[in-house]
Amino acid sequence: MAAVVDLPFELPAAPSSFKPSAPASISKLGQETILPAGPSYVAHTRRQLRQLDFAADDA
Amino acid sequence: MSQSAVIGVNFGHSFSSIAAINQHGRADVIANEDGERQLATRIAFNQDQVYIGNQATPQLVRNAQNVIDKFANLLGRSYSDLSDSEMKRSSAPVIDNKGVPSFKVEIQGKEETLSAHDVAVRYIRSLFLTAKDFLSGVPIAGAVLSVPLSYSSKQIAALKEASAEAGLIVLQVIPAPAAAVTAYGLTAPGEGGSLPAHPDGIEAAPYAPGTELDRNLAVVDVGGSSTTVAVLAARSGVYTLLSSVTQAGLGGQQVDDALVSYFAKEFTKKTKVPVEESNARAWAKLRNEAEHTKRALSASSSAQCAVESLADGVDFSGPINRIRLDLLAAPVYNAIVGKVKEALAQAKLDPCQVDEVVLAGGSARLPGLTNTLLHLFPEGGATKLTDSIDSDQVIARGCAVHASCIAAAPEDSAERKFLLDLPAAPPKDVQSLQAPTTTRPLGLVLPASGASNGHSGPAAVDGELFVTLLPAHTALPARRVYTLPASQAGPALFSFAEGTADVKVEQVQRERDEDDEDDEEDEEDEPEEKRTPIVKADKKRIAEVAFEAKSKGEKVRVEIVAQVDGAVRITVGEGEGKKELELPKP
Ligand SMILES: Nc1ncnc2c1ncn2[C@@H]1O[C@H](COP(=O)(O)OP(=O)(O)OP(=O)(O)O)[C@@H](O)[C@H]1O
Ligand SMILES: [Mg+2]
Repeated sequence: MAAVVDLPFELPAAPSSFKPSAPASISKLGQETILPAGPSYVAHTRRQLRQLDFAADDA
Repeated sequence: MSQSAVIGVNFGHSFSSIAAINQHGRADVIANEDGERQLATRIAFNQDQVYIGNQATPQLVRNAQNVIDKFANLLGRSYSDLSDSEMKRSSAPVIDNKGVPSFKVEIQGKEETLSAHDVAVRYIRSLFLTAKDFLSGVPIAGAVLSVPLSYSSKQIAALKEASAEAGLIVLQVIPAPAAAVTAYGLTAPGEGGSLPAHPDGIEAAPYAPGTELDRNLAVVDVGGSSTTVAVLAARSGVYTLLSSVTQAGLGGQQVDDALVSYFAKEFTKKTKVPVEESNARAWAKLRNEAEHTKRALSASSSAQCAVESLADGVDFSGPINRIRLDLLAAPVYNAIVGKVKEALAQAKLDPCQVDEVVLAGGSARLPGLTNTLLHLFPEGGATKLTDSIDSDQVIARGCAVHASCIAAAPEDSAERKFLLDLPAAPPKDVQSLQAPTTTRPLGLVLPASGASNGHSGPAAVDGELFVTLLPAHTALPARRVYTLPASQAGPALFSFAEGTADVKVEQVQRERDEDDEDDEEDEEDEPEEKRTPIVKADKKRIAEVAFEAKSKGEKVRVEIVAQVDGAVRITVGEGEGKKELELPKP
């Protein structure tokens, strides 16, 4: 189950003429060293090794 | 867990400690039979007596040549590789035994040569026995050990070897800064997706909105003979290393040295009896008592340094308060803060962009040090100090927490095998620890008026508020779920973009509060610089969607799932009205 963070920042109203463009991709990824400790790291490793996505891992 | 226990071991160059998980599931540092939790990493041999830990320390006065300490960092090293400062000690000298750093001591009347490995095995075995006694018979199924980030593969392997020979089942070796943040579980969601517990307990001031799961951490570990600053990106409990700086010869020992020379001058001033370092016995007495006095000054603002027959049979007794200590130790404090600056610069972070400073190592308990350290960060800024766990205990406790995570993984599980098979090498050299990460923050662009009234959190830039949902330096895959209130019923606009982190610098007139009498009238208040972390949204939006909110203030759910290849699915809303955006991989 994902942890849900309630943010206090208000969403503006969409203008009536609103027409969304096609989604673009995020910037090129980097690569960093993970420090192998803690429960979330073990869960990260479990999902990776068992090819579970987050939803499947929740089950 | 009753049938077997796991422990965390912080085997340090100056002091060591062990932690176990108590019946409440909490990691506690184990006290030995003398009730001590910080155990000097020292062994002394005197006739047929062997003193291990703090009992060995008094042996430095009359039996220094048979005392062995500062041997932990020699494991896995060749003699020729040792620096002068590493060799420098008042205890038994390090000798070259066919390239292996060793010690020649008299044990039960016979001269013996012990390698650093031999000494480490004896010492770690005593830690293991202390743990077994404490756990009164509960078998110890495994141990996680911490190592400095600066340890080489050879040193890590040598530590594992010595620990195994001492009787430990070594599950994994983890870097000390990772152990420190794991002890607190910083940004790590609980079981079933609860938000992370606050390190200072429930009544503490909550983290700024949006930083519950994502924060930049500076772990400042100041031990006896070294200081290491590691800057980590903490992302929902997964920690990546942004930078690390290690400085040997910078730690509690340098504070002790400053105290020793101060007390020596005080003694001579009072008694007209000279005392110099050449008087090894006097200096050893003074060094032991100075360290004790330093610790006392961490607990109370004044203390007494008393040494019986320090020199020529004359006793010494000198008061000292914390202000004097901080004056004497100021050069050491400033050098340590200098290392923090270096590490932040390497991580390309401004101090105001550091969300949390985590203290580790015995010397981080010096109030004067933490005060000096905090001056580096904007007053009233977002940076929070985390030291609710005593800094000398936090690494051992983190190792125990991680050990329990391993023990919780099913015996034959792939993840457990993976953890146990992690190579003995620095994390940056381990292929399986290199992960793809985001390089720019992904967030929502809201009109500044939508800024939360009175809530701390991101600052608006050019009338726009960038609310980070998936920050830079997040290891993939990653998932985040938020809710945001709709400003009115009807279609609410979700405008996603990437942004550029920056620092807003303002000249602010320091408002003089009335009771500032000590400010001289004529000192015109030069404006102070105020530095605030900001994220400036890209002009180009990366994705946009409108979601029909049924009522004003309705909390609309937004879920972001970023795959390993950087493809991102954003789901706005729930149930049949939900909208999905698929961002292709970069
Ligand atoms: N309460 C305290 N107040 C001030 N200094 C303390 C306190 N407790 C321990 N120290 C100092 O902390 C130092 C030991 O730190 P730590 O337990 O982290 O050792 P370590 O990791 O083996 O050090 P290193 O590896 O750098 O030699 C010693 O100089 C000791 O005097
Ligand atoms: Mg240490």
